Amino acid sequence: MSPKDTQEDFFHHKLSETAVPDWREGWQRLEPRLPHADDSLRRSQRRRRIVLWAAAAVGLLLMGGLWALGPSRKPTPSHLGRISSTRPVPADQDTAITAFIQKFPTSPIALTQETLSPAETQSPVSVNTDTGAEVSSRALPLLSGLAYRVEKPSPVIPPSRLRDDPLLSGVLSPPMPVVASDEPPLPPSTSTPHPWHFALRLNANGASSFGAGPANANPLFKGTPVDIYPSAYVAKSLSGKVSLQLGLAVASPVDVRKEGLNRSVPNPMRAMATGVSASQDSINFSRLYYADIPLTLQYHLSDRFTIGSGLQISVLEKAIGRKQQLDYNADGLLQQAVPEQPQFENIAHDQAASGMINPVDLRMVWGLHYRLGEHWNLSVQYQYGFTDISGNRAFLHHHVNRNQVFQTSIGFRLK
Amino acid sequence: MALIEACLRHDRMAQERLYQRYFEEAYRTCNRYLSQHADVVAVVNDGFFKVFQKLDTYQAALGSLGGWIHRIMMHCAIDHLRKESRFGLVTSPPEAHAEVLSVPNEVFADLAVEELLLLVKSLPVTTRVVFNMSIMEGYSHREIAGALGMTESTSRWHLTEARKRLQALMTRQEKIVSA
Repeated sequence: MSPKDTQEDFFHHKLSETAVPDWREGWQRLEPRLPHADDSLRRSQRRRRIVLWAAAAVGLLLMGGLWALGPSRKPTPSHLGRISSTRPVPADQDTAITAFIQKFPTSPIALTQETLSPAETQSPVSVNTDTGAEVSSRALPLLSGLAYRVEKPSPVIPPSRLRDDPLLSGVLSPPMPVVASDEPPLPPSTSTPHPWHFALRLNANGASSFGAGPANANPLFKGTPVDIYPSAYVAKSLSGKVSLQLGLAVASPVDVRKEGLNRSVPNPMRAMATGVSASQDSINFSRLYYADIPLTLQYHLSDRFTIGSGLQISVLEKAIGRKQQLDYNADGLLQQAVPEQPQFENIAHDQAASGMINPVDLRMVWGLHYRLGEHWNLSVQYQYGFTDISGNRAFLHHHVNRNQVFQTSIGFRLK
Repeated sequence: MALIEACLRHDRMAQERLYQRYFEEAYRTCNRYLSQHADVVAVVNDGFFKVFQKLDTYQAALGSLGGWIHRIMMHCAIDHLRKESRFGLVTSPPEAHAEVLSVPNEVFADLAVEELLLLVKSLPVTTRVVFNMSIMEGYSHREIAGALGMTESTSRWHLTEARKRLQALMTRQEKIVSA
């Protein structure tokens, strides 16, 4: 070995032994800069709020669109205008209509909302609606009506007025039904209308309260377990459009072991901080059974579409899990896990499970239902929990603060 | 891995634990590159801030956590020197390699650790960085040239220059002590 190498080794060795100040000084400066777990939670909450508002806006637009295009709307003047202009008058009726129009060839028609047809008017003029005579603009404030001069010699006259006219009595055919909907008509019902009805549903849930691990801080249904379970509901019709619906389901028999509910509590970092070995109790949950009782108000937009909103109370029925003791060494590393009971069983009321899971959750429910036929219907529902679960020990590491469930269902109406 | 997972969850206690565990090595690394204590602590903290931010990208299969943190600290120190404009790229062709003076090993043995560190810190910035990367970190001239944006021969020149200056400094110090 050359002297140069020896000296460089010496440098390497010596410089690795330089004095180091106390680390606490640096840590005190760094700690305020580090983001808190709450920060990412707050960001995810904000994103979730935006998604909710966007969903609500889309829902409102959808509802507005359905309402506007729904078949139950009465024909408006614009409908009549379109109908009168797009349906040619039959040849045998031409003479009668022409005779009617020639009876009033030049007098301006005082347009009311009913006869207003902007396509055939040019400019507004002041008209005495009683006499039909034009008046000066200075007298306008004294008069009750503003009308339009119809310069086209063939004013739009609604069919209803034509039919009422004695000259045309018996000439025009009876009014045709107006079909203003693209929905295929439902087959005639074979059952008699009843204020009560009962139905069964098969639901598929995606819940964002589970599976939101550190790598997926804000999954919003991404990578969440899907839970399929049946439910039943009874509905009472309150009026022609509105009904009240009460349901019952036993939800979430899904295995949650992979979804984080196998966390040990309390946090093993406590053992690491003290630098001594420690033992902690741990609970592994496998399945949580909640009884869901939704109460919703349903509004029937059309024969096929119904929207609903309401509250759902979810009550913990069973929590299947297993207790075990975890032994950590001084570095906080898990040494062994000793099961305290041989198999998974209901530990919902166990003292150790207290605070890990919520016995009751209250949720807001929004839904859209589509009727496929007389018995079958499809539904999508979104549920947002009111209960803050961010402090829940089972979800401490999951960056979630509310239960969220997206549910799709197929239902069969029994009666 | 439990410590890393806890840090990923922004567990403050785990972050403190990780900071405590790797602070010494991080401080020594940055201290060799930077001259002021305040700068060293600031750069160490910048480095740990990056560590906590990028911890999810750390792959245990590719190396130890300590090595990963060490590399981050080294790059933070070099970046700091760049920002401070004290570290210009040497693009001019290096001078002819000077002869390395021979210094008896006893001189090294007599030097205290802090004195050695002061000698290293007294080197010009670029020369100091190359010396540290080559002697202390074990990088090849090709790697140093790639990291600092210089040619390999420039890197070699800086290392030779560092040796020459260090030995000159040590010889002078020995004379002062002898006198």
